[in-house]
Amino acid sequence: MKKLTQLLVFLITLGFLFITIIPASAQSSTSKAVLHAEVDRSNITTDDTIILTVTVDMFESGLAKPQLPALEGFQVIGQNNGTQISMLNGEMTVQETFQYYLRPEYTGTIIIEPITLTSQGTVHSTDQIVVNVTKGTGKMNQIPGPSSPSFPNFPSLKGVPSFGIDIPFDAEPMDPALVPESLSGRDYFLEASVDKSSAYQGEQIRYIIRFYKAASPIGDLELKQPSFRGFWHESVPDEKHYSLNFANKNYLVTEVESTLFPTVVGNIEIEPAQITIPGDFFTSGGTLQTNPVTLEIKPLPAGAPDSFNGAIGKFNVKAETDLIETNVNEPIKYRFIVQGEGNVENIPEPEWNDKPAWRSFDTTIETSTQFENGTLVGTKVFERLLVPTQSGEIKIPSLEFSYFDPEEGTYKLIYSDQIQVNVISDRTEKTSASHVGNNTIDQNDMLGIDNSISSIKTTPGNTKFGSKELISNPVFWLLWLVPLFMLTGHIAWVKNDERRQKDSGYRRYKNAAKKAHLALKELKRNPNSSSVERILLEYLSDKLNQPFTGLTLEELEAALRMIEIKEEYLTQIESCILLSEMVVYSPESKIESQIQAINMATSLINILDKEI
Amino acid sequence: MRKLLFFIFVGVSLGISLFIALSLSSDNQSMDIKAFNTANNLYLAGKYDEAIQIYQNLAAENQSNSVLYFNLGNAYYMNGDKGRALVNYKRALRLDPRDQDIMNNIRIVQSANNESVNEPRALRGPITSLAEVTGQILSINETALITLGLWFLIFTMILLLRILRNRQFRVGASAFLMLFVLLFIIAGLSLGSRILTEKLYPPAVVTAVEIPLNSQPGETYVTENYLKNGAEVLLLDTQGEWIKLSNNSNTYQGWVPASSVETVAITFGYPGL
Repeated sequence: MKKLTQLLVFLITLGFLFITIIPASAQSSTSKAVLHAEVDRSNITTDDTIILTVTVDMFESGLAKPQLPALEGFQVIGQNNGTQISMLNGEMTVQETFQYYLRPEYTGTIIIEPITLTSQGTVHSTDQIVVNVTKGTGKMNQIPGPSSPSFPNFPSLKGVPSFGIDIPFDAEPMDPALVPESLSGRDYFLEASVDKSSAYQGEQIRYIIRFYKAASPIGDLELKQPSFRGFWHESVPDEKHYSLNFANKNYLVTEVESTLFPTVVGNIEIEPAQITIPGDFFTSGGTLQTNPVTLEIKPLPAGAPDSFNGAIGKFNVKAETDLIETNVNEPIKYRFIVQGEGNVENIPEPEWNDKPAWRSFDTTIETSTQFENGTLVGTKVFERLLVPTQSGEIKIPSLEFSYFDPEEGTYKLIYSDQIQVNVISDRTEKTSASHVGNNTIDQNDMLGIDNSISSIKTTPGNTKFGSKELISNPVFWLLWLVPLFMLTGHIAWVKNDERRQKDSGYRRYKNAAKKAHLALKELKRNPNSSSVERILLEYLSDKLNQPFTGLTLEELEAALRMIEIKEEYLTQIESCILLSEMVVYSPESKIESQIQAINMATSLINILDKEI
Repeated sequence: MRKLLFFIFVGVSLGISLFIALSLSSDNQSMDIKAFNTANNLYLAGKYDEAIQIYQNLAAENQSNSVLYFNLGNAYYMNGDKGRALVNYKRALRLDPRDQDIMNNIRIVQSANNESVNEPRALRGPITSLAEVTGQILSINETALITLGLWFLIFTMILLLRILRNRQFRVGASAFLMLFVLLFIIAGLSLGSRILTEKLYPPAVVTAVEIPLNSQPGETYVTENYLKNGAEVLLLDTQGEWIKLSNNSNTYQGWVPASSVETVAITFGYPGL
C-alpha cells in the first residue's frame, strides 16, 4: 500500500511537470518572432557594404514600425522596404521587411544595438549584432545582391561619395551605334544631342545628355544643365543607365533627358551642359562640357483655322456628361477631354457658347502628363457645370478643336460628339433656386453629392449567420422533407392506434412481448406469482391469437407445427417448458433453475417476437 | 399524455431542423482576426495590393461575409479596379442588402462608370421584379430561412388541427394555417424568383479594362461594341471559353472571353468562370 501511494505521488508529479513544461516549451518554440534583425555578413572590410534586414510580423505588430538605434560606426547609404505575404501549410504570414545599406566608418568590432518595436504596449527587441571590420584596399566594392538600390552618381547626392563603377543591375547594354568615336581612350566623356535639328515653334524636341564614366572619382559629380532660354522645357524624371565596353574599357553611361518646346522663331543655340569631375590623390580633376546645339525653329505656316489656339502635336478629343437625364435647375458635369502627345500643358480652353437652354459656370481644368519613350503625352480635361433652365431634350453641341501636326505640316480640325440630355420638368427644389445666377458657388455643395466612398469596416462582422449560401447546400433542401415525415408518421401512428382499439387480437399481438417481459420480471421478484411455462404459453397465445394454455407438450408441439414454427424454436420452447416444470416439481434446485428458465424464456421471446 | 409527448417530439424535431438550417448558413470557423486587421492596416497604409491579397486569402478559406467583401471592394476601388470593386460590393450587398455603406459605394462606382444607377432591366417580368424587390430588403439566406420556417409552421398547424378537439383552438389553428399558407406563397415565390433569376441570367461585372463584344464566340468575329471595366451585365449563354452577355436594358448582346467577367453570386458561378 505504501509503495502504491509512493508510485501514485510520483506519477502525479510527473504528470504535473509534463502538463506545465511541455506546453511552455512548445509555446516558446512555436511562437512567432514579432521582430527579427540580421546582417548578410558579419566579417567585412572597410570597402564593403552590409545589408541590415529587419523583419516585422504584421499580424502581431499592426502598424508599428521598428525603431533603429544610433548605428554608430556605420553610415546609412541606402534603404529599401517591402511587404511579403506567404502561405505555408495553410498558414498565412505577412511580413514587412526593412533593409538598410551600411558602410563601416572604421576598423574593429562594431556593435549594432538592439532594434526595438512597440506594439500594443509590448516592447519587442532584437539581439545586438556584432560586425568585425578589417582594413580594405580603398577601392569600394559593389553593393551585393539584386536588392541593392540603384541611385545615380549625378545629379550629385550631397555628402554621398562615389564608390566605384557600380553598374546598376538593371543597366542595359548600350547600342554601339550611339557611341561617339571620340570616347576612345578617355575615362570620362560628356555629349548632348537632340532628336531633330529643325522644328516648328511649339513642336516637341528631345534633348539628351550622356555622361560616360570609366573611373571612380572620390567626391561629388555635379551636372550643370543648360538654361534652355527660348524654350519651355520639362525634364524626364527617370535617368537611364547603360553599360558599355568600348576600347577595352568598361563604362557606366548615364542619360538625362529633357523635353523642349521652342517659344521663339529663328536659330536658337542651346548652351553647353557641364560636369565637374573632382580631383583625388592622382588626378587634378576638371570640367567637361558638351558642344553647343543649334536648332532652326520655323514659324507655323499660314492658314490656321479660327479655332486654332496653339496646340501642336497629335491629339484626339471627346466629350461626356455624368448624367444623360436630369431635372430643370439640377446641374450636370460636362467634360471636354483632349488627349495626345505634344504641348498638352499649354492647350487653352476651347471656345464655349452659352445657349438659352442652360447656364454654365467656370471651367475647372485638370492636366495629367507622362513620358512615353521620351515623348511627353497627356490628357487635359476641361470640366464645366451646366444647369438646364428648361425641360425637354437639350443638345450640347460638339466643340471644335484644331491643332498643328508638325509631322504632316498641316493644321487639323476635329470635333467632339454632340450630347443629348433629357431634362425633366422642374421639381422646384429649394436648394436649386439659390444656384441660379450665381457663378461662384462651390461645385461640390452645388451637386450635393459626397463622392467619397464609405471607408472600410474594422469590425470583422459575423461569419456565423448568413455567410454561406443555404440554397446551394443539399441538406437545406432535405430539411423540407422533415415536416412531411412528421405528418406521415402522425397519420400512421393514429391509424395504428385506431386499429389497436378496434381489434383486440391485434392489440394482444402488439402487446404480447411487453406483457411477457413484465411477467418474467415480476416472476424474478416474486417466484410464486406465476411460472415460466405459463408466461411462455400466454405469450404464444397472444402472439398467435390461439389458446395454448392448458395444452400438453405433445399437443402444443402439434399446434405449433401446424402454424409452421421453425424446428429449432420448437426445441427451445420445449426445453424452456421442461425447465420450468423442473423448477415447479424439483425444489432442490429451484432458484438456480428458475433464473435459468427466466433467462431462457426472455431470450426466446425476443427471438420469437422478431420471427412471428 | 401521449399528445403532449407528441407535441414535444414535433417541436424538438422542428427546432433541431431549424438549428441545422441556421448552422448550414454559417461558417464553423471564425474569421482570422489578425489577418483581417493586418489587411485593414495595409489598406490604411495605402498598400492596396497586399491588402487585396489577404482579403482574397480569407475569402478563399471560406471566411467571407459582407464586411470582408465590402473591404475587398474598397481595396480594389482604391487600387483603380472599379470592376472588381463593384462585383465585391454586390457580393456584400447580397449578404447584407440593408447596409447603407455598401449601397453608397455601389452608387459611387456606378456613377464613376457613368452607369445609370437605376438602369431599367429589360429581361424582366413579375418574377424578376419580385426578386429585385425582396433582394433589396432580405438577403437570400434570410429569404430561404423564412420560407423554410413558414413551411414548418404550416405543417405544425396541420398537425394541431389533427390533434386538437377543442373548437376554439381549431378555429384559431385554421386561421393561422391560412395566414401561414399565404405568407409561404409570397416567400416561396420570392425565393423561387431569386433562384430562377440568378440561375437564368446571373448578374456579373466586367473586370477587364476593356473588352470587345463580338457577334459570335471567337476572336475573328465582328466586334459590335466595347465594354469597359465595371460595366454591369447579365450572362446569357456559354460556349467553351466564351460567354454571351447582355446589358441590363438588353440594348446590346454579344460574346466575350469568360475570363473578362466575374459573377456576383459565386454559388451560381457560371461554367468557365
